[in-house]
Amino acid sequence: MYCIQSAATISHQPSFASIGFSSRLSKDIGSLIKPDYKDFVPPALIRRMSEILRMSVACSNLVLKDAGIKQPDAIITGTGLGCLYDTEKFLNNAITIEGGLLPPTSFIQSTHNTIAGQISLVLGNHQYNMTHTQNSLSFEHALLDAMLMLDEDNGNILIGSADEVIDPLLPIAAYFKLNHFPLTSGASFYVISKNKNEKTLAVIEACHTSAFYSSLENEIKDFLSKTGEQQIDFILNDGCNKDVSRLIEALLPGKCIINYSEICGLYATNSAFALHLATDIICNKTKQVYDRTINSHQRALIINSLLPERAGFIMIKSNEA
Amino acid sequence: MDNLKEELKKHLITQLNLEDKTPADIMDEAPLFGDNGLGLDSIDALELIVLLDKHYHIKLTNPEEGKSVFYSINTMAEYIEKNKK
Amino acid sequence: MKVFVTGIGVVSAIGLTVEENFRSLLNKKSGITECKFPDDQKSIYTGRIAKSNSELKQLLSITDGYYSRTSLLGIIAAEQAMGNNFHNKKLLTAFISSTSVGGMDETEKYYRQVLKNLPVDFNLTRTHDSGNTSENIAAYLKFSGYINTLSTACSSAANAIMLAARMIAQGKMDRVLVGGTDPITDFTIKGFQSLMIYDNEWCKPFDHNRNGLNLGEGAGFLLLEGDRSIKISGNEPICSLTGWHNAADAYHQTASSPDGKGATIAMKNALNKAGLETKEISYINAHGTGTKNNDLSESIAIKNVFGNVIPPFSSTKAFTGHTLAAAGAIEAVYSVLAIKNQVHLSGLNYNDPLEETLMRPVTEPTQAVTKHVMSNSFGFGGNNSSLIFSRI
Repeated sequence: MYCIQSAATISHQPSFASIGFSSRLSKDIGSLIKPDYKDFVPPALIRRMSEILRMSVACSNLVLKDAGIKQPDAIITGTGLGCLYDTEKFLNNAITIEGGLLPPTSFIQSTHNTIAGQISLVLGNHQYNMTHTQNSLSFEHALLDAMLMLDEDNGNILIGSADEVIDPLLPIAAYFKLNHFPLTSGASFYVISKNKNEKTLAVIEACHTSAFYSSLENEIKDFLSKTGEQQIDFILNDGCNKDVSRLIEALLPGKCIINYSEICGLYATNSAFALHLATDIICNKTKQVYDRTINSHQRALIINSLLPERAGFIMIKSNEA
Repeated sequence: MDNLKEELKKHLITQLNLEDKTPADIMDEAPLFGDNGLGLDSIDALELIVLLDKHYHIKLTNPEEGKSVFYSINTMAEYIEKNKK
Repeated sequence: MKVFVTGIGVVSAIGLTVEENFRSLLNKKSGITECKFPDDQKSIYTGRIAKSNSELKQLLSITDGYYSRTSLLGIIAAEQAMGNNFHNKKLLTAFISSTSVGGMDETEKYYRQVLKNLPVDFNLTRTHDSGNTSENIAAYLKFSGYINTLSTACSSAANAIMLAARMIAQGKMDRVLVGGTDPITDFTIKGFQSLMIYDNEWCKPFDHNRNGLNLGEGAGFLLLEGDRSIKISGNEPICSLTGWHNAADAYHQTASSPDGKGATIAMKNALNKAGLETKEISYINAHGTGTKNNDLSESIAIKNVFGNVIPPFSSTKAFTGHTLAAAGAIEAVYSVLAIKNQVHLSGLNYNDPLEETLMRPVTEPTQAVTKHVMSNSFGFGGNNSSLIFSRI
């Protein structure tokens, strides 16, 4: 049992510090909705931080505060494309500035573990500090690491993921026809623990990833048989592939299916948004998400097959279940 | 010299992303590094080396040298005056 | 559950095979050379592998598709470590790789086209993300299921090995093929130059007059197996992996703390995990990049942990260059070789000790009883990891 003690998301929806946001979703995906970062990020550090770092540090500070924890026992992050803003900035400088000195800050902040590293720096935290980067499954792998850690030792783990969109990504996405949904940015962080208490928002039952499988149908069936036959009340699906949607409808007929990329847009770790959305729906017994009606709020399945041949599943249930 | 100092402060704000500072906030004689001054750190020191190269074509190859050069706006301006080509 | 090392693979500037690497280490033959790279303006010292991408593809019989050099190097090392082992439905097998820049070598080509308004090959960007780097290696070796990548800068592969060990120890996986890979890129060379820690000459780890690092490229992979896997595979363990720990330094974005706090925690807890006393460590393969900051901080951390009885130690980075994410895996392979061959490996270019610690690294490969080897890897963001390999 892996208990979600707190959750925070910055996205293109009004999700930050906004309990019950699942009932206040905007129909259109506008721009990133950010808090005043100065309230959440130390001013001395904020000036160098790109959006992905600001989002991540702000979310992690909020979840620690909400969980009532000063120091987490591990900091584990996932990111599909990492710190793109700084990566592009340094790459651009490296190609265009000839002979001159290059400003180092963007190089320093181009590494994927800048996110988890900055969080440890802000907190003065000396614990396990890890970064998973397996494109569309980065969040699930970070979550699996956190669950493994909870199996080894108890504790409170700060786990989350973030990705940011930059303009140079747009022509690439257009070329590869990744245009079902707008490209967006987002960060979601959680404190998870083995101890269920009054703070527990929801419980993660299981998480699984698989790549290069022979059949998605068998992968889903396997996951369902391992997690038990109890009722699934609603399903969050990335919604990028119509064949997958049809497969889910056939395997789990009559279930309410919510396409989460339709809500938060497209980024490599948007299944982390889906987990927060599911948590919020379960906690607040949200009845309506867009045109989908949810009648029961005990148990939900998140299916992420954003990229073909790669799938991630998360089963989450109410803390009453 | 005063023009140079004013110009330096503007460059400093851009190069180091000192978003919430204006040139008037930076005193000529105040230490740039450490908690008593602007609070710059070793990464900023490297950015200042780039600044000297980019705007004044002065190459400072030994980061250790930076400590005295980058003490304050005054020391930076003096160094630039002396080494400007 | 115990974790055994049953297969190793490595490709670096000092060899395309495990045997070539070991021979170079024993003969003190470095792979770092002075060459005109990347802009033909200044000469620069790098540990490059003398095979072009097309030569590597030919070697691997890859005829089509987009592969970053990162993946190509990874495939070579991973294939060696996998050896004659087959996929087996009875064994839960995972693949974990690590890289710091993923397919940046190909992204550089693409971005040059973009910035110079040349015709653009968008397919070059397919290999950009770190996950793709690993997937290409995994696909070549026909892996499926759990495929993952860690990226924590220069400690990446050590962390990947640690994750693999934890999964086996917890019974989540029976065996894991794990490692790391990184190519030399313009991006990283210019990056370390911008930090003013790239030595314009051959690097001198743990020497008083050290002046920075040289970059290298390469990949290392290890096959780790638990008891159940060993029973089924029948593989002979080379050694076991007994200790591991990762700790954040939480001091600075790039520099290590003056008191070596994160590194000290990593080494101490790795010893605790292995249930060893400090005197039982026979040899330390240090991170030893050759930068003023790392070598001093690491020396102080070693003193914090080992007191006045410091085990023989050295850095092999003057042989290979700093291979970033791959370093932890390449040096893990060297640590395994140290145990297998009962030898303490040496560094190169050492003359005078650091005046702050007066610690002297191993300067000649030395035949000696080698029971437990510690391997250190430290990265940007204060990411510190320590592994311990033990003789069976």
